[in-house]
Amino acid sequence: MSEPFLEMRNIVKTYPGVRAVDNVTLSVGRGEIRALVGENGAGKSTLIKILAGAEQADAGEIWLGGQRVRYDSPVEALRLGIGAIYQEFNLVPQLNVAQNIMLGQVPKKWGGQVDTEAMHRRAREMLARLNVSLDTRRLVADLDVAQQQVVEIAKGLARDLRVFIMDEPTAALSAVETEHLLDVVRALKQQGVAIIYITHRMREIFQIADSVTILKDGRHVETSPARSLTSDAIVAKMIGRDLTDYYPPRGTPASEVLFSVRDLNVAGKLFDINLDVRRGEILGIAGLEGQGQRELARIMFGALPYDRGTFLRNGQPIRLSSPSDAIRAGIAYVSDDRKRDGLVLIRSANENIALPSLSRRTNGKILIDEKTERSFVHHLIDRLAIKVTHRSQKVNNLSGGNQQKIVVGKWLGMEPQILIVSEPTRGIDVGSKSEIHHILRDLANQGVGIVMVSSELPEILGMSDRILVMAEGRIVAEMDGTTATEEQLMAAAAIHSVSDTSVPVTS
Amino acid sequence: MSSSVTTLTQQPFSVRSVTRLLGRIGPAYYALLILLIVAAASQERFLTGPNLTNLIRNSTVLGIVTIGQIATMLVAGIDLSVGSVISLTTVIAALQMESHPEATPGIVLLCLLIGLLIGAVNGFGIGYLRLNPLIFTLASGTAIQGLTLHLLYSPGGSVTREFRELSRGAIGPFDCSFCPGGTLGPIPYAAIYLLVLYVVGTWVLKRTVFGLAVYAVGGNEASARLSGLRTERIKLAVYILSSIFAVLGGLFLASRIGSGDPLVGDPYTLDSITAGVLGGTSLFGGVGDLWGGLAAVLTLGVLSTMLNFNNVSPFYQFIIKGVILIGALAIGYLRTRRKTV
Repeated sequence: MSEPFLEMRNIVKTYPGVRAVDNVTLSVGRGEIRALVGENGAGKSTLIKILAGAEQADAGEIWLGGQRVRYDSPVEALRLGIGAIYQEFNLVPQLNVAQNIMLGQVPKKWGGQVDTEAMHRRAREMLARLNVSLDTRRLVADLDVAQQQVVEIAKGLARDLRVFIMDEPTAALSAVETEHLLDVVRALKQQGVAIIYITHRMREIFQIADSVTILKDGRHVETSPARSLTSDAIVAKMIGRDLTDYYPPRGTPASEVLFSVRDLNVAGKLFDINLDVRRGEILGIAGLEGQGQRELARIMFGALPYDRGTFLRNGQPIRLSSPSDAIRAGIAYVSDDRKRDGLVLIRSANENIALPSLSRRTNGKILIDEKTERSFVHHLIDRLAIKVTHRSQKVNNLSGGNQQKIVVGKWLGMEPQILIVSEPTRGIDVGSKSEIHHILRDLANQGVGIVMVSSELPEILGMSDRILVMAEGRIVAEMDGTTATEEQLMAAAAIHSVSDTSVPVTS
Repeated sequence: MSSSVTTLTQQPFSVRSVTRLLGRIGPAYYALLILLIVAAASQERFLTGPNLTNLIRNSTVLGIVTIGQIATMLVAGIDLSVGSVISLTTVIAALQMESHPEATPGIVLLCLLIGLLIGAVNGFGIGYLRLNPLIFTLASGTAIQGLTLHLLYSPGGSVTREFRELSRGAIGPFDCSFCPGGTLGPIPYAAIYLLVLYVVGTWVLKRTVFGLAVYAVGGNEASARLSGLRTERIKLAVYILSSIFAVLGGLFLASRIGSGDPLVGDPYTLDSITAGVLGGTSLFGGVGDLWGGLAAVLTLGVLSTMLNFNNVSPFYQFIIKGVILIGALAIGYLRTRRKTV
């Protein structure tokens, strides 16, 4: 480890009601990979926003290469070579891939013209460094989450940064893409870039980080070489207690079928999907990223059209052509993109939770009975242990874990019989993760049938009563959740994706 | 591509992609095409040179103002002050040219400077102070309207003879072996103004770094800022452009009516927004282009020509305009909704 290149000294940042960062000091050397860990709400995001110039600290100093630097905008931070890629992608959906990657440093020709050729060439170079081939002319709006993540990373690469901040860069990536990214991070390290790497995945910390800084409640807890730490030690320091019983004990699902999908087909996406959801079970849907799980979940909620197929609710055929059809049938859906689908960000926690069950609570009256609403919402906020300073706090200002709990909470209000959750704990801290897992298990124990789409194998194995594995739009295997192993799952998920010819696989 | 490369592109060509392409062509082009056919079929006078020249001259002010309005819409803003700026321009031009006919070029420059100033105030309030564009330009527009009425209470003043030529002149006719009668034209100056402004405007929006920044700011302002764009400055520039285009529109209008009128610009505020929306520009920013706007401007022009041919009262024309804006908004909504569900 070399001399400190970047130093943040005694940084303080206070938001109304919260001291987000409390006197944090951090120094990183050239060519050092520093993992920054902590629960959501620990102050990581705020700290890196200050470093990237997106927020201003109330107090504290930033030093770069032995000199104090001052800046109050991302433009100036980038000029100093400090840049970040964010967890909430900062892409412009209406622009294409190349324009997004090169935004802010577009190559110019005479008369202020965009040098389109150079722009696409440079964008392709960045993608090639990530070992990804993606048409740079495609609109970002048409990309899926993993592709958008790749674009966000490429955008960071294109800037030749001296300090590179990465906020959960692998949250949406598949295993293979993650490996490529880690290689790129190692290459940046070789070039002497100081890297601050935020992740919730312990494995990645030990794969690449030189050192680890742990934050809790806005304060610095510890900075140590990664070698001297264990995964359990990090988790214990992050949450301030040992995390026992990580996954809640399984229940005893009934054999009664609540909901079935029969012969569902979507051209090019899903093929002959058949599945049953039973009362009180958690049905895990596993597979590599982008094998049609997401589409399946959305179709079951009536949010995507399909070509052929029938749906049975308690054995009776039902129509699912819009989310309101699904809600009427007692089906709720927690999206994997909570910012886009799940929350009205600028409204309060209160209002977000009350939203889907409004019509039920008003009992056909026109005005919202505020007293009923309030007591109902308070009950849910307590039950889910959502940390809000007050209940009318805007959801925008809450941490990811708390936002996710609100998304779950808003559906609990309508007392669904079937709950479809897609990546329920993506990008949230271990503490909230565990709370969400307990909430899901409680619901199952109360008789709700839960369909859980997840690309995190430990989550699938720890939570599911039954597991369906998807590959290339087909269900390729069914397994018992109590006996399945990670190796079996990986083997089943990989069969199709590796071979070029599609060999029919029977489960 | 080597086998280790993760391929993320899979877009097979299909009938669906063709229908999607047709769906992407703005409603304004279809509307213009249909209206032109209807007009040509029902009015034999419609496809005559004088009538087409008139149509273009009548559409020029709106055509010019719409360029600026679309720019503000692209950054997720709006400019409700353009109507007042047009009125103010006609009044200043007419009053000043009446008393100082020899200083016509200087007066034109003065008008443009006033536009720059108004745009700078709008852009500063909206870009730097982050005030709501709707309210801010409504307020500045109201203030400008008051100033205009203070300067000239009822239509009056007059512009110089040469200045009138700017809107009334034409070049040609040209020899043209393909054209019926062997000649083309004469081509009114107005058509040339529109063509030049739309070509240059499109070049700026689609080809320059500034244009890309405009789309980026409208598409996702936070992202644009974090990417290192100076979003305030871009908005400032856009509102200055909007006011400058309103002044250009006002100068053309002054030339055409030959005098100043403190209320003459009023309808152009709503009309330019209608043209923008009908032309496929999103009020939420980041989506749209100028040619759709021009098609919409001509659509509105043909429509009003047809209504005038048939002696429909101007009051009904207001109703029709309102319905068109609502219809265009509805089409825009349906087009974007398909994408997001």
